[in-house]
Amino acid sequence: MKKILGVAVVCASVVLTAPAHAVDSTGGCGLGSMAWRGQSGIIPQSLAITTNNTFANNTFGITFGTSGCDPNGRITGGTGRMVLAFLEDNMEQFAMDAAAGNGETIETLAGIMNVDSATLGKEVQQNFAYIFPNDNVEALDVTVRVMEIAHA
Amino acid sequence: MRQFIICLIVLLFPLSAVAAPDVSDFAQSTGWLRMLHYQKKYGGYEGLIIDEEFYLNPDGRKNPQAELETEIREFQTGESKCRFPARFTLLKEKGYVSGDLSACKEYQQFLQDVQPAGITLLFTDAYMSNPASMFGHTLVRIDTARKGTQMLAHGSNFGVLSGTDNGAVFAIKGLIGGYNGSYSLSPYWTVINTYNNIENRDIWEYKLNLSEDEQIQFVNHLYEMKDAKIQYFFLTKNCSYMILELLEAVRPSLDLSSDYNYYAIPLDTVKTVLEEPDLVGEINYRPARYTKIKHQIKQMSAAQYAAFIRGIKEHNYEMDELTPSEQRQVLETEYQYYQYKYTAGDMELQEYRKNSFAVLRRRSQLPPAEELKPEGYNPALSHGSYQISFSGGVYNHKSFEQINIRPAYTILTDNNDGLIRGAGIRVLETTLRYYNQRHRLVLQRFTGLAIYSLVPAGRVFSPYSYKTDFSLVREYNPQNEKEGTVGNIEFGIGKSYALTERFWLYGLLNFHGQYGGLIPDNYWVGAAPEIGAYADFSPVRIHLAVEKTFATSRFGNRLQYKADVAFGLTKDLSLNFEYNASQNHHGHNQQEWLTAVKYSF
Repeated sequence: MKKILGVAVVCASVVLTAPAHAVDSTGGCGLGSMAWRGQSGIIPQSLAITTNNTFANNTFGITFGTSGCDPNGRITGGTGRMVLAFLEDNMEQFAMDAAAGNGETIETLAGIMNVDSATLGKEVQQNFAYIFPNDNVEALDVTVRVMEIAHA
Repeated sequence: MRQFIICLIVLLFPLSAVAAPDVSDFAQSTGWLRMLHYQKKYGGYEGLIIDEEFYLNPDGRKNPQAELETEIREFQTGESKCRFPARFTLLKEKGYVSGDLSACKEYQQFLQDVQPAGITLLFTDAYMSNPASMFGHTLVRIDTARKGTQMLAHGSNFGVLSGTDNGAVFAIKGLIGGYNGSYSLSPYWTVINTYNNIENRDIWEYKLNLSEDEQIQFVNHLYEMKDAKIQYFFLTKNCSYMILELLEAVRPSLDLSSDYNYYAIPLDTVKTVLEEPDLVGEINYRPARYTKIKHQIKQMSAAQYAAFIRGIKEHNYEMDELTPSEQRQVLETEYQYYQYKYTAGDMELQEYRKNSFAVLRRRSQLPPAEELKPEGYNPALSHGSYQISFSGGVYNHKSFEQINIRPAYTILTDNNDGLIRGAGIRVLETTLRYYNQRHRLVLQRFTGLAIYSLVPAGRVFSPYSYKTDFSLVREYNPQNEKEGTVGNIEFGIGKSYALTERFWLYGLLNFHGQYGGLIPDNYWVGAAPEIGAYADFSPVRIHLAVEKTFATSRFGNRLQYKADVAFGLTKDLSLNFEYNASQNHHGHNQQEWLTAVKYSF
């Protein structure tokens, strides 16, 4: 029940604060705006995400979702929206930091949620198996669990 | 009523006539001209920005004063000041307009999202197996005051709007200005992911010492440039040139861009910024994923390395022989290795997920520890990209002097501090030689583009090494005893092996061809296996090569030996000894010794 409530809260905050959700792959967000060279394999996947435009299916191993990113390429919105935007684009680095109990992504999330970074690091490491229950966990679920653990 | 208006106009007219001289002075001032990116053209001015909306006066792109007068009028009353907060701030500071920007909703939202707290110049360094990338790329970061880290800052990139063109079309259109360039903004975490984690390029962060007013003006100026389009030239009006113009716009006393009328190599522009007294503060290094993995492997004990290899090859992560702290390092490196493989397209998604989760679950059972960070060598401290060298030598008993001019960039035996060891790239290099006895000046070599990319292959990473050479070279035809210039193309691929960190051997299989009137039948093509050695015993650097060519004509058949030994005196100055010999089918041997002084700047 707690989880469902959490999902609802995050979704609401996303929906309420999100402007028109169309993310243009040539706009400020994502790879389209960057000089791109090499490693062709990941491009189709990433572009598939930017054009798919559904923000709930951003699973582990698909880097660079852009759903939380505003069309102007800016970080915006309230805590829930920012945590989701951040985790969509940095889930793999966060998984590593969570397993290690410290790191830049934990410091960043602690800043967004306004909690102590060292405490958050300890808690996400202890709850690693809860936050990442399987290898195709979605960014939204991770967001909900991290916010729950941080009491944010 | 009408009379009253006329009367008012008459009354007001003398006032504006008094103000006019001030405006005309300011319209010609550096501060104004730079804020709107005017450039001198045909005795007048033209704005660099090509879209109409950047100027409020219809004639504004060519007339700085008309533009200024229009803006003073419109900023005082209309909402256009909200689109141009930097200009408004500048004109307000000069006392031409009053008011503020507090009612500008979109602009205020921008400030609230970005929460500016400083400006940092970013340089993205070279990536492996691509010496051309040593030229680098620059962008800027608007540092943030948000709680957390600078991952929540914003990167601003000036890039080309290329559409779907690629390859040769992209290169040619880019060179001749066939595209427009424009700024884009993205969260800094996206910049990190793109460069550090996908392209595997180190990022260097150069914090700029700007005053608070200058910081705000920089951000304001980026805001007003957000829709600005500029005709993009890869070599001149590129990402790096535009950053210099931005800096000059917020601090008119700077003169940074005037050295870059012909070409702007990104790394050179960083050097220019660094040379400006007190402009750069703290420098931070953000290593790429590939750099981190290589560094971590280097730090491993033999037992750790064995466990690491067992992990990535057999997916067996049992390593009870290691301490928890040692295990931790192995697991973290394995995870990053899987990320690297997946991103490079060498690992399927399902496999990647399975492997990386197995590793992370084990990692989460072990206590936290600080990450081992590699130390980088600031690329802005590398040798100068322009090189001139003078040499004297003997070619088949004939003495000569020689001058060599290389606009860019580096060769294997040059100092590679801040660059990539084993990477050489030469662009538009000209070699002129004067023979003393014959009093003849000849074009000895013109190198359009030549690359050596030696990257040692190992158990974990096994990249290819390669070389290319597109040039005009002077050749000798022993049949008719004539010399002449011929076109020369060579490219090859192979592998390098590091015997020690500083002593490598390599083997390449080259394709080699020449074309020209001097050559029998005008051309030959051939296969040319090459073996060589490269040693970097800084300050001594050695490159040795032997190449045997099997060609379609006897003219092309040859066995060549090359040796280049450099003694670095400073990072920019070296003394080189070179030996070149060639044995061809007719038994006619060519042999050449030379001593060179090379200076980079």
